[in-house]
Amino acid sequence: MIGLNRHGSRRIRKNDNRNNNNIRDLTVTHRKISIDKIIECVKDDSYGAIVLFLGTVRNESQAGAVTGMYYESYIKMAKEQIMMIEKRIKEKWPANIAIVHRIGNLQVGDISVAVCASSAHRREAFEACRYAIDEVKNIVPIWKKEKLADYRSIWVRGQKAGK
Amino acid sequence: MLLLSTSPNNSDNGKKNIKIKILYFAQLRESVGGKNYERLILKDKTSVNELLSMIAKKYSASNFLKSINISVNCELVNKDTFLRDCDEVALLPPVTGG
Repeated sequence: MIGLNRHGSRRIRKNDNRNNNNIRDLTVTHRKISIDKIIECVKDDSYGAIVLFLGTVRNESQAGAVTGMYYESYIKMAKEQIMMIEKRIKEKWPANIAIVHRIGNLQVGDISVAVCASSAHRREAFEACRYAIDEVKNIVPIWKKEKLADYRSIWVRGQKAGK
Repeated sequence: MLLLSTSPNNSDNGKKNIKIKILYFAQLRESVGGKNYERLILKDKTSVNELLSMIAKKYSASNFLKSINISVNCELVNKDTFLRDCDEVALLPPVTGG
C-alpha cells in the first residue's frame, strides 16, 4: 500500500515493508485490498478529512446477471500511470493520495479498486479523490471481463488508454 | 519493407534488423490466439503503423486494431513512430478498469 505525504515523499506502513522492497509493486495487486491499510497510508495529523472511494463488482450489467469479474493489466505501465496520477494530484491539491487496483478473478461484492485522499478540509479531499478515480478509469491499462450467470464471458467495452 | 519473423535473419540489403517484443491484452489477446506476447524481428526503421498492418493481416484483427492505443516501453506513441531494437510494444484496447 502506498501513498504520498504532503511533502511529496512516500509513506509506507512499517508492516508492509517486510516482503515488498519496491513500494511501486503495491498499486496493482492480486491481493485483497485492505481498507485499513490504505487509510493508514494517507493519514496525517494536520489533515482533518479523509475520503475513501471503493469500486466493487456488481451483480448485474447491461449484458445480464453477473457472477464475477476477471481483471487483467499491463502491470508495468499501469503502475507508472498510477504514479503519474498521484503526481498530478500533488500538483493540484494539498492532499495525500493512495490508489490500489486489484486484478485477477474477483467475486461479486469484492473491492476492485480503492482510492483514498486526505487533506486539511473535506472539499480538497473529495476533489482529489474524484479526480483520482476518474483518471484511473480513463487512462490506466486495466481491462475487465464479465462472467455472466448464463456462462458467457464478455470483455467490457471502454475508452482508449492514456492521455 | 517489413520482415516479420520469429527467427533471427540478416537483412538482405545490409541494413540491420531489430528485435522487438509485442504484447497483447484482453480481447485483442484472444483475437491473436490467446498469446500474451511474441518476439519479432523487423527491418530497422519499421514504423508502428507498418507493424500494425502486418499484425492485422496475420491475424485478421483489423477491427480490433482500429480502436487501440499503442505504447512503446510504456509510453503512448503515434503510429508513425519508428521502432528501435529491444522495444516493448503493447497494443492497448480501450481500458475498462475500476
